[in-house]
Amino acid sequence: MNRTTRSIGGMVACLALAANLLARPSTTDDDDPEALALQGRLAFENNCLMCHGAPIIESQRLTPEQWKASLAKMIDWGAPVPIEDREALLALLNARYGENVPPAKPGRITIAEAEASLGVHPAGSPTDAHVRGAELFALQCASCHGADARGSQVGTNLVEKPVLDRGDDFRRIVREGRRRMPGFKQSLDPSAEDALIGWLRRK
Amino acid sequence: MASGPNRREIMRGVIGGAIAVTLPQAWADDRPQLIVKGDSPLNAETPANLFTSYLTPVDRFFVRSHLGPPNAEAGDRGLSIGGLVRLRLPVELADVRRLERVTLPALLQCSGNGRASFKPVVPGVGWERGAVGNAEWTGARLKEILERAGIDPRAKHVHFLGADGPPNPKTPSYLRSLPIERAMDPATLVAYEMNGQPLSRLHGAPLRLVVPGWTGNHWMKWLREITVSTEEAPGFYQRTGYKMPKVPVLPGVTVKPEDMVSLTWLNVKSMITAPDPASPLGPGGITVSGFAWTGKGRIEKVEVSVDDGEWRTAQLHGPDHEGAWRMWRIPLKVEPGKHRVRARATDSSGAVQPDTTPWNKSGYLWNGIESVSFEVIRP
Repeated sequence: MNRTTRSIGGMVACLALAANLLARPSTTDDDDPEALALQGRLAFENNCLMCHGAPIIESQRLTPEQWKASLAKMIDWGAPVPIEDREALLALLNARYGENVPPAKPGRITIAEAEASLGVHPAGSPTDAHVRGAELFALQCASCHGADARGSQVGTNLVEKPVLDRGDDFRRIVREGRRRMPGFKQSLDPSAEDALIGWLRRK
Repeated sequence: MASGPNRREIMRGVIGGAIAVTLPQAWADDRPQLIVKGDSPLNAETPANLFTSYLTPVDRFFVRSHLGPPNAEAGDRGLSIGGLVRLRLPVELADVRRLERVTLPALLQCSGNGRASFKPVVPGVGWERGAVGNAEWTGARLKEILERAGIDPRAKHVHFLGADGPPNPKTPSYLRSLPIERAMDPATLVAYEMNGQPLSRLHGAPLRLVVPGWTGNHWMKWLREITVSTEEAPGFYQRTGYKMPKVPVLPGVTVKPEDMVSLTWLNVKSMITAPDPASPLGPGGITVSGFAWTGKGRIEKVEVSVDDGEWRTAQLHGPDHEGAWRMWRIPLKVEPGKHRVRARATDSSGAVQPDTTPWNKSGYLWNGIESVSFEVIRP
């Protein structure tokens, strides 16, 4: 793949991302509870679950004022919730996790399962591909994940993250995308995926 | 560890462990399970009935994560020391291991343990009873590391940064500091082992702070950078988070920043771990037992009351180390039927557990007297 093709790949990805963002309902009709619920759910998945799992929210029961304050804190910390989605997101939080909603039954996990979910130290990380990885990252990933890979408002920090120990998960996310991230299978082949993970592991 | 072999280990012994055998689910999943309060990053607490020994086994020990563990490779990157020191050094993990090896038992409790008991409700990880544990920690004294680096006499605070990077540049890093006196306390460790095993990633490998008697937010995991300074650490987690009103306020009252104080010492508290409310007891005598702890000082007394009757003094037993918890038990005779038992601890400063803990907006330091209900069945 030459540089031009790769650049086009990056542009396609950006367009896909834009399309993802536009997929949410663009206007909210207050009289349509279903549309408001859908808007809230998409706002939850696209913005809250970028950085953390759902149980930390599902396990809390808060007042409307507390959810509003929690959302303001998360926005201050970089959660990119569009202004027009905030009301729908708060409506969802209050309906599902309001102070009068019965508590959720928490999940259970063994320490062994939790350790396994982090991934293991990969034997023989690729070492020669990282120069190409740096170039690919700058072209394909940096616009969302930051030039230094430490994240931006639309993509999370990748430096020293456990997903780098889970090569299969990393490749699947790069190929297929996840939540607001588009898939890159059109522009990145398996050797490019290896180069990216090799470079990121050295960061 | 004190816990006996579980069924899976027995099966492994029987079959020799050499052949991969898929055990039926009911057999395979009898390992202790923690209660999930948050995933990715993991926040999980220990069910009270799993506290059965002086040292809490690693596979039963609660997990608190702010920003989540770094990947495995990041763990090999050592420690850097900077700021007001003579030698600004990167330190290899092997260097830390070459320093005097210190082992001590210490209780680790999240400052928000019991947050779910506050009324009105407060935001944050909804810990109930099990964000606490007692382990034997091994490591180097932080004091020795700082002395070898040569701290400047102007030093007043020591900053600590973990390798758990924030998800985006607007999210604050988990950056904290200790006042120099606490950093130089001989019991403050940079630990690399827990209960005689290498520290696990979930518990902060390769290095974490151990600050006996102080709330868990001081026990920095995945320790990456130490910076000696004249000021306390900047940023949310030191300057805004982990603070309490200097004097109790009514729920909902906004407190000025200058009227807030950083959490340091734990307060006196006890936990009833037996009887287990989920398991009815046979007729005859029962033993009520549990653990008690405090921050500064020692546990002097634990008292137990059944069905709001008189307070009776329980027997303290097992090891008695400052900074660790104390075991207690009391045999009781109770009639068949449903009962409610309460326990309250007193420490060496004379502090006694209150009926309820003053409300604070972040839900810290809950130590209200708890009650556990149980049933004794008829013969």
